[in-house]
This record gives sequence, structure tokens and C-alpha cells, in this order.
Amino acid sequence: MATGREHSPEERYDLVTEARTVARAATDESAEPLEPDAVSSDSVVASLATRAGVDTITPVGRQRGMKRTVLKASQVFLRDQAAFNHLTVTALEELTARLDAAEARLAELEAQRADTAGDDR
Amino acid sequence: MKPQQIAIVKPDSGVIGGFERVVQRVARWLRSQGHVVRVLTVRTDTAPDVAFGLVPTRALERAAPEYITHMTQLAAFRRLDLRDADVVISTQPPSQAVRHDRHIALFYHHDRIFYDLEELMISSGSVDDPELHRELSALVREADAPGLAGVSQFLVPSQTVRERLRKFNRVQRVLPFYAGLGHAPIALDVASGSAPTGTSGSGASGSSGEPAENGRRHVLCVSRHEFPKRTELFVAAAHQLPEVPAICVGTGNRLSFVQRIDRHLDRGATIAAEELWCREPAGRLPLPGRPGSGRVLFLTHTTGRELDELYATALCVVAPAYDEDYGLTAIEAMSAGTPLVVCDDGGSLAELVKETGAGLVVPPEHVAIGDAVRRLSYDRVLSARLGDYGRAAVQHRFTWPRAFDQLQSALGRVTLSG
Repeated sequence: MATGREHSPEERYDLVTEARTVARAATDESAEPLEPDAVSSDSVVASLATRAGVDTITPVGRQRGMKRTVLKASQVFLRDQAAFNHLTVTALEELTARLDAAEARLAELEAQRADTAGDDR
Repeated sequence: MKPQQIAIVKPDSGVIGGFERVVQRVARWLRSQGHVVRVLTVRTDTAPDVAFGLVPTRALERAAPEYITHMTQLAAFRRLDLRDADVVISTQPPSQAVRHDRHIALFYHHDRIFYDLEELMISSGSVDDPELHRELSALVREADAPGLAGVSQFLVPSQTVRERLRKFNRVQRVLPFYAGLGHAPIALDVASGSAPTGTSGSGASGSSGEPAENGRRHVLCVSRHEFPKRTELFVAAAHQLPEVPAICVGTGNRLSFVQRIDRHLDRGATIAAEELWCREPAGRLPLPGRPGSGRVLFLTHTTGRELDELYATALCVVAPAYDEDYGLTAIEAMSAGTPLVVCDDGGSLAELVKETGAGLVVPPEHVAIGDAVRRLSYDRVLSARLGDYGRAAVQHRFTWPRAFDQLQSALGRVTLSG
């Protein structure tokens, strides 16, 4: 609730004026009725049913806010996933390079050993 | 009564607590009586422009987020098309804004920061601009008024809520609704003094203490750590009682603050009662000295059975909250035969104890709470008697058959009057 500071009289006047406008809009008699949607098989809606823990849930309205939240969450998830993938690819490339170097060194050592064995014989 | 189409309307905050279980139970019972029940929810994070077509400025969003949420929800509930319902049952605020001629409100509280907690929010420093908060409270009450006036019948859980409705809305159409408990308390062999098992917690444990003669040995508080639940008072009281282990079950925004108080009191810090809890969650309290390890065991998760065991083996349960609406945890303690310690400004908690004799009512100070716990730990006869009063009261008063009779009575009234 705390906003971090008290407002000046002018700021408070503006806030209260806007709050009154919001209250008027929220109680507007002419607003179109919201038709309850049918329960959808959409996964977001299904998670709603789980959240509320009630037997039958009918989500209401277009739930634009919810979609926005889901999009944001997806974006964060994909960004993290991309970052993870990038790190994984870099690490794999580095490992492959090390493996190549190790294989080359191994081949070199094996060649040396073969030479030595030929000399012994 | 012939089968009705019943719509239950409810805000959905994503939290499933005691009240959601009550709603679930009510819906199930109504269906068992042959009614057709739909539960309609509006998410509390619905965007304002969806509900009332305006996008509030950043300044208002920052200064008054609770106000915008309230108005968004109110607009959405007002706009719900419920013409196909014979009866509507509203639940948490502001679902009472729905418009229907046969409207029962299962009413536990207003949007409290704009009503009964308005002045406490200001005096505790929880709002930075008292004048703005008062203006917003007045607007909320004005916007809520038509919806509340349109309720055909209120069902309330306590005299405290009845009084609030009378004070703020001059409402008289009120019947009691005492929800039963979620489950029957389990039978425990408390004489064995077996410790609760399998609990997971954080923080330091209290002193082990000697098991009492009747197997009851710790003092318990079960509450969310939120303002003004006052779990800080419980923690401070625990430091008055080094001989009694203290367990606090629950989580919430103030948990780390409460734990910090516990650790600082462990090093002998002294803090006045109001300073302890009358603070915003960030906790600007200047705590003296270096922190100790604390002496309260904080449990953030328990199973139902573990909680039952904790209730049944407690010396007493401290319910320190300010002006409660209902007091589910107190009723759970009573069902286990465990005496209560509550504060005289605790609303329904004080009401419950005064009506049933199930515990001690003390001033809202940690010293007084500590004294009451000590008295119950020494006077086992008194403790057992208060526990018996509590158990008997729950068996008589807080039962689902009785709650359904009350609901049936409300349904009968609204369908007859409609």
C-alpha cells in the first residue's frame, strides 16, 4: 500500500480526480454485460480451474490481463531457454574442440608408440 | 424447494485457503440437494481496460494498486450476465456488486483496508498519504454501496462481521453461517506425549522443555504472517517463557520480519508491543544489538495430520490477530480440546472465547500473552476445563449440517421473497 512518499496537494488532487473517473467507469450503468464463456479446453483456462479449487469454473470475459501475463511468462521462459541453449551450445563446442585436441594428441602418441615398437622389433 | 439454477460468484486470486474450501463444500451440498450450480470466477489480475475500458495512469497504479484492483473486480462483477440464474451467492468482496434480485451474500468481510482497517493502515504507517487513502476509502464505499444494498440476505460467520455491516452499511438482513471444519479432528493419544512427526520447518527450535503430565508441552500459533495477524506478539511472548517450547505454523509476507524479531529478542532486546506489529511489512524497526539464533520453531509447511497433532499436543494455542472475522484456527484448536489465548481487540476471536469459555482473553501485549500461557501451563485443571468447553462448543456449533440448515434458511427466504 505504501507508495514511498506523501503527495503534494496538486498530485493528490490529480490522483483523486482520476480515482473518481475510475469509480464512475467501474459503476457505469450502460456497460455491456459480460457473458460467461463456456469452459474451454485451452490450457490456460484449465489451469484456472485448478487454481480456484472449485468444482466447475466458468472463466469470465476475455481475460486480456491473463493472456498478457502468460505471454510475459512465456517470453521469460523462452529467453531463459535460449540463454541456456546458447550456453549449452558454447559448452558443447568447447568440449568438441577439446575432444578433437585430445584425439589428435592420442593419435600422435599412438604413432610414436608404434614407431618405438617398430624400432624394438 | 424445487431445484434452482444457482450461480456462485467469486474473485480468483489463485490462493486456495479455508474460504475456498467452504465454497467448495457449499457448492457440493447444493448439488446434492438437486440444484444446478455454477461457480463463476473473475481473476484478481484482470486488466482494468477489460473490466471498465480505461487504462489508469502509472501514477495512480503506483499510488493505489489495491483501489484499481477493487474497482476492476467491481466492474467485472457488476457486468456479469446472470439472467439464467434463479439465485446468486456472492462471496469475497467485491463480488457483492453482482446484480440479481435473489442475492445471498456469504459475507466474511469487506475489502478491509478501505473499511474497518482504514485507520489502522494510516496509524501503522502502512500508507504514506493518509489523506489520499481516506479519499479512496470513501470512493470504494460509495461504489460498493449499491451492490451491498441489493443483497437479499447476508450470511455472516460472527457477531463482529454483523456489527461491521451494521456500522458501514446499516444492514439488518443478516443470518449466522458457522461453517463446519474441513475434517473431523483425529483421535490422538496425547497422554503419550508423542512429538509431532514429519514436520518441516525453518529457524531455530525452542528449548526442549519437560513433557507436561498430560502430554501437552508446547505453545502453538497457527497463522499467516500478515498485517495485522500479529504473530510478532506471539514471538515476543515466547521470549517471556523460556521453559515452554514455542511453535509457529504459517507463512506470509512478514515471515522474515517476524523471524528477525525472534533472533533479536534472543539477545535480550526489548521492544514495545505496538512497535512489534504496527509496522509495514518492510519493517523499519531499528532492532538493537546483534541477532541471536531465536527460540521459536517456524514451520512453513505441515500436512493436515501434522497440524492436528500439533493442536492436540499443545499446552494452548495463541491467536493474537487483530479484529478477526472468523478465526478458523481458533476453532480447529477448540475441536482438539486445546485452550486458547486471544486478545481483547481480536474481533471474532475474543467473541468466540467470551461466548464459549474456551480460553483466556488478554490485552494485546506480549507480556500479558506470556502470563496467560504460563497460567495455563501451571494450572492443568483450568486448562483442561477450558479445552473441554471449546470442544463441546465446536461439536454443537461449528458443524456442516448446522451450516447447511442456515444456508437452506437463507435460500428459503430469498426464493419466497423473489
